[in-house]
Amino acid sequence: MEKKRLLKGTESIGESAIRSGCTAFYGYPVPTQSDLLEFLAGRETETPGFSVYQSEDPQSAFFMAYGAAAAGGRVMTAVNSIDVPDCIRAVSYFSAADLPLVCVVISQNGPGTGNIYPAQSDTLSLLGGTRLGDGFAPILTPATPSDMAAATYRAFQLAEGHQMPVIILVDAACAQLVETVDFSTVGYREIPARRTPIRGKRGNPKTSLTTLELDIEKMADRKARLEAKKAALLEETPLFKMDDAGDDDAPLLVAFGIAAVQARRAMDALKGEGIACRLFEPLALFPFPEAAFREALEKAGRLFILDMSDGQFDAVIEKYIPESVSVFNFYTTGGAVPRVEQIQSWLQQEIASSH
Amino acid sequence: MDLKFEQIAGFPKSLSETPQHFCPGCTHGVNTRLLAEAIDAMQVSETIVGVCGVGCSALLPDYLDIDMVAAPPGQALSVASGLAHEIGDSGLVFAYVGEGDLYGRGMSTLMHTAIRGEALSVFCANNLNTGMSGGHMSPTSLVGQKTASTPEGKSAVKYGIPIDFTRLLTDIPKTSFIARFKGFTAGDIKKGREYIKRSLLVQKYQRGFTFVEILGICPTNLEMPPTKAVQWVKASTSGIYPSGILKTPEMGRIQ
Amino acid sequence: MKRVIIDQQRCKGCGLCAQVCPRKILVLSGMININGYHVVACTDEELCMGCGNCATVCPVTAFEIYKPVPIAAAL
Ligand code: SF4
Ligand code: SF4
Ligand code: SF4
Repeated sequence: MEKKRLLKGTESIGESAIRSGCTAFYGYPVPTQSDLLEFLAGRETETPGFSVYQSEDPQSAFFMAYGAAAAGGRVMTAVNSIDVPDCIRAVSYFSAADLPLVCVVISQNGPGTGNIYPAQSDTLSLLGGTRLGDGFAPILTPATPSDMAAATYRAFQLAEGHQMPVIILVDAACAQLVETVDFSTVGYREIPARRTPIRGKRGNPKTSLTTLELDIEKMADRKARLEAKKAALLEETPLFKMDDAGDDDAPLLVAFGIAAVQARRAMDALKGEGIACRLFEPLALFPFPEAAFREALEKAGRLFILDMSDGQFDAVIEKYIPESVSVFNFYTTGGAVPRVEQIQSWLQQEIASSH
Repeated sequence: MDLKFEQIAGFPKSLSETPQHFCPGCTHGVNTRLLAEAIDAMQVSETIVGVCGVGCSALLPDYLDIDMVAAPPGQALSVASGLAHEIGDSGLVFAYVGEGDLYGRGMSTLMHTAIRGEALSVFCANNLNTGMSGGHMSPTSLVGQKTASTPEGKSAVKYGIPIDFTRLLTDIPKTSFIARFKGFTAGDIKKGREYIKRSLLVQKYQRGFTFVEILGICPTNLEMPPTKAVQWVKASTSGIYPSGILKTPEMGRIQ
Repeated sequence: MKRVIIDQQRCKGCGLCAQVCPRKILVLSGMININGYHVVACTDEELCMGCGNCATVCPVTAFEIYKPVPIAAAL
């Protein structure tokens, strides 16, 4: 396999999934995520042990994946914002059944059918929704195709390692970013399968996989098992990126996805003008890299939050922000990606006026 | 003359000894036994995986001594398809689903699974109402049938006239063996046992989508003693849900 | 040798077997099992013709049926 390839975000996820040992992709074509289905369908024949199935609707994609996972498959699915409810329902079932799944969610603009322009308005529905029935799923938020390759491998490691569903949340702008991805830096290694597949008893006692549990005590056991998994997940290496200006009390920017990509560009431009900023980019919303974020905030008197929703990201991070820090927000909604100049002038103004 | 005793009925090996929680007279019990008998006769208990739908069918994993996976509402055939993809021809996959689940929420999935021709044996327990939910109207409830959600009887004006979903499947090119029997008359059950075996056999050697609908009784929600429910269902479904083989891989559509 | 063996622990007294027995030898007895069901009993096994109808319709698989066959016929 070639080491480097020029790829779009979604394609990088697809390529990395194959390199992570994914055995089946179940997809349903809806704008902003169907390129993943197209890319993988194109790779199917040349990849032994890997199959692509297009389902009749997103829900069936999730539950075909459920059956395949139960039989030992390493499965992936993808939806866009409109089908987040199906994703949430699937996370609840995969959580209850202790089955691994990697689900890609491409965020576009709503509410309703909205449009296919990028947005970051699925943050709260995913963070809250995946808790349906006390289930949960890690939510990774890579922004660039290279980060997506790494995140996809990480997602499969987490899914197999903890036997749980994992979400890769990417906005529709990042999904289309093109970059030369160096897959040799990801460090792929065989991810060991950790469960006995359900393929008939084959000499063993029978296995019943059901999420129905009428016994209250056994249900409590299930919840305790999920709690233990969550605790183990929180022990994993936190995922974030920190662009440091070398100056600890420089103003801190926080953003993920396309907002982080644009913020980084604006920072570079500002550097030329002698204004130093730092950027904290969480590569996961759950578990949120809390300790690192708090540490980055310690010296920063000012925090600049950049987000493409009506403030959903604020709601996620506000609990980590001490009262002493002044917070500045920049939201774009409607599908427009914040332009570099916009961010630049916002930062310039706010930094100057808040001195 | 000396006599020897030949066993003609007993407890199938693949049926679990666990006491069953189906209501007295419920034909889910008969269906469960028929599945166990077919699995034993085919000697596939080690390589078969069953999927059950929701409602009373969801109790099946406790009663069959085989690997089983329970599916969410409407999604039994998706789960079964996924299992079949992964298991391939190293095993058999069947699904046991109630008609409310399969023909209601699961209708689109049923059609598309059949159209794809997934290698599955699908058994639909059709008892004319949603049993465990509390006996509400299901897609096969008869016109005039009193259910929890149609206390005055199912209205044809409001809900239309139920169709024969099993027959509908015969038009799909990749369906192979399709049949229906009544799971409550001795003669039909004896035939039905063969249908179930045949459906597994066709799946094993011809890898087609096979379908058997088992007409049953839910005495609890029909609010009749089982012996009366049998007579009522037999009389009121006659001509609407007829028994017999509807399609075979060799002859195509028969009825 | 017993010909009609009924697992009265499993029986739920639905009466379906009694309805299909051509010899009318299955009756709901006055006996109540541990689950509170009136259980079925066989009044005269000698009359059983080994048709298997009872076992076929019984939802709880309560029956074992043995049919006598002449040994000479087997030779
Ligand atoms: S509710 Fe109906 S279908 Fe369910 S176990 Fe009772 S009789 Fe059977
Ligand atoms: S085998 Fe036939 S004759 Fe004998 S008890 Fe059963 S139904 Fe009656
Ligand atoms: S059919 Fe079975 S459960 Fe019903 S009365 Fe007869 S033995 Fe009992």
